[in-house]
Amino acid sequence: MKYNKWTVALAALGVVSFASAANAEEKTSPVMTALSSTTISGYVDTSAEWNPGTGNANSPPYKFGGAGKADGFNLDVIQLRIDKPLDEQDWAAGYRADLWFGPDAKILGTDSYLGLANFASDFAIRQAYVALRAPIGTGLDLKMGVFDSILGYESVEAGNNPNFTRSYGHSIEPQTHTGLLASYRFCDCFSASFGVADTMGPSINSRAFSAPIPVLGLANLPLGGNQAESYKTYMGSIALTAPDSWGFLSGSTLYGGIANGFSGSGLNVTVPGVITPGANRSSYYVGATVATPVTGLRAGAAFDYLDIHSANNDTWSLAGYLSFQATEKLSLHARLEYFKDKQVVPGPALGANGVLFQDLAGGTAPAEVLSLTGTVQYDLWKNVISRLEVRWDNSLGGNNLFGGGAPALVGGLPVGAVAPNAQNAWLLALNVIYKF
Amino acid sequence: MSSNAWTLALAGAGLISLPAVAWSEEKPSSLFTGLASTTVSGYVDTSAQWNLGTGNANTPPYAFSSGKADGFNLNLVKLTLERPPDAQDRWGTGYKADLIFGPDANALATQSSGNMADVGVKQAYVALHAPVGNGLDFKIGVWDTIIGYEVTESINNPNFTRSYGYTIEPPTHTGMQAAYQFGEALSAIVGVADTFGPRIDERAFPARAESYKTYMGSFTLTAPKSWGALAGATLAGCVINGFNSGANAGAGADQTSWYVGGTLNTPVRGLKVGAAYDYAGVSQQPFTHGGANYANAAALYASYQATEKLSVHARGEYASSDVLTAANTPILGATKVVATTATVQYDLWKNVLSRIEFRWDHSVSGSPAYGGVNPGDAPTKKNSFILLANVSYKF
Repeated sequence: MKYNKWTVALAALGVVSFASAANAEEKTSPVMTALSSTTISGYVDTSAEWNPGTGNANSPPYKFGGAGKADGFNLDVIQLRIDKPLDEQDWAAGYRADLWFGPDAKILGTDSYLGLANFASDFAIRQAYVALRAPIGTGLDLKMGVFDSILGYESVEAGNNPNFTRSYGHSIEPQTHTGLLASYRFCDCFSASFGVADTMGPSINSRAFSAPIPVLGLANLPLGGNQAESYKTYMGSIALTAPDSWGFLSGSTLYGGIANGFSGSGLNVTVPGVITPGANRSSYYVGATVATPVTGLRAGAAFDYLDIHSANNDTWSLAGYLSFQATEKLSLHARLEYFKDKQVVPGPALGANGVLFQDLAGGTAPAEVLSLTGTVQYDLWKNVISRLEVRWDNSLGGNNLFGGGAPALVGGLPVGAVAPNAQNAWLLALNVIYKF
Repeated sequence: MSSNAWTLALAGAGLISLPAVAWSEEKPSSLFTGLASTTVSGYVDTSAQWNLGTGNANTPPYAFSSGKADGFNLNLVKLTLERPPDAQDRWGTGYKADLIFGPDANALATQSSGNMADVGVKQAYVALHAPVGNGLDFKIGVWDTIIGYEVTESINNPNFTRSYGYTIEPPTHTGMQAAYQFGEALSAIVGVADTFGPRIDERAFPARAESYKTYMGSFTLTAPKSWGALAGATLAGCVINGFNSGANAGAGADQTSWYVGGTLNTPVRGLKVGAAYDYAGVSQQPFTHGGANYANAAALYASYQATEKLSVHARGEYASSDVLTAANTPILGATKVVATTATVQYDLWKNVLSRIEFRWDHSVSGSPAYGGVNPGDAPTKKNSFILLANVSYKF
């Protein structure tokens, strides 16, 4: 498959992904609209999970996973994309609207009303922006609106990732911002992005300053942070791409990014009526993909670090990736990840001992996890990603992080937290995605 | 652009807006569906706003303003699926579904559940044409209100921020309306709906009898071509009466809304002016324990198309009301408000609306209406100044 220069440049910046471009049909059919260049695309993502052993109360807390998907069939998400990408014109304009429907939309949590538990729905806007190009130098590309984070190795879009389940690194990265993002390609080998946004997201139009949010039945809740009105989130990234003259390394990329700003508050879902205050945080990411002399074999690495300014936390992830395209239809993917998650929260901490690992039953030890994921993908059907995945999460600290039986029921509803009772979590998952 | 007689007539009656038609390409092509003539269109609307000074606890409460101070905003993504009735078909049929996504969908609050959601239905109706006289056009379902100078879609308004006149109008109804074009110069609409709206399928009962509905009517006069420079000028009037669950501080009450407005071409090439008067009244009735209240707004508009790409738009408005919110604050921020808005639009990119706007709201009631740092703080200022940029892509 051929990519034009812009696709290569945008992929290097993380603005588009090669996986996305490669998975879509070679020639997208335009949807017939008032403007013929608009296209509609998307995918339906389903899965089935078996978690060997009994007790899912404390499933590994990576994003889009958890107890809600354990031991059963799942609709993950339906994405509907309506877009018109930038063309080659000097003053090109376009747009994108990514609409999510299904359980993963609720987890995405981009609701403008801060995902208040009582109103969370199975609908979310993943991206919605106007894209503009100004003919400055080689062309300055702008996005205004809601856009994906510029940090990270993996995507919120499962089909664009080598593995179905997400890494912990992805789970601690910012996901969505509302703001303005500028991207510039200095040359074939070097490109950069810079952006300013309301907050670290993901709630659309959220603010770092305290603002009254009208909530039905709850009057105007003082949601938002304690920062000045001028306090914004800033982000930047660079991408280096190995040129054609580098032989087998050609096309390899090195990527680095940072984002700093306020991460929003919201209603505490555990303690009704309590508003969690939010905090300033910085996210750092360095990642690389490397082509190898072995045909079809690619390697990758990713490092994510999260610094919550007020919390004395120690949360970071280091992951290595291997992908091997054995035949046209068969590919194998492996991921090995080390994740450390420790957080000391001032004041009442509700037993929380990490950013992701929150032992609400009162545990206090930090989480230190080794996670190994193996995926076999066989594209038996046209436009369908079908893959089988095994994942093993292991507590390196010797403390129990997983398992735990069913919580007590009061009036048919689960009440209270259940302590973890296992150091290992196993998962066998089948993932089937149709891309249209 | 050439518009056919029906387009002009429907625009005159407020059924469609000419700016919307003018924005699209001349001949939209069809979507591959069971019915080949369905079209898809819409827009993505974003903005960045700076509220000068410190303190956003109390900001001007015009429609779609909540939560947008001092930051970047996604306003709305709108997706329209539509097949208009064929004007040549005596028994023509069609439909329209306006699906909206984003914070403004939550603010419009058409959700039948009454819950918050960043997804909503703005319009969804079946359109029917009957060969009665010049042709009678029906809409059955959910449709935009027939009242008002401005519309819900910001891209079809001369200014980005809405007027107080728009703010006190109902935005949508669930019901049935009939539109008739008596001639080139006169058209009219009558309608019956469940309530004032906007909540879809809302009922007036049990507060009122099950048979109690909301009724509305409007007329539009359009100056004929023989009127020279005034050709195309319009004068419109509308009245709506029914149960509004949002009136009476959310307790509900019967309400009557009136509107008179017009647009006028001038001898100055590219210069148009307009005027609008909105009144919403709740008379003495048992729901209000004998009380009565009102809100009204008078606005003047001027638009000047300086070049093909550059246009400037101005709006001056006076609004007053004695209505209080559930929090016991004036529904317009102050009991009397003057608002001035100036907008410069420059269409630099194809299909993109890009404009910069400055808005000044001033409390003339003698009491502060704006400012205050923390939510719940009392207002500290009589003036509010907003500078914003609006970028929208229309497809």
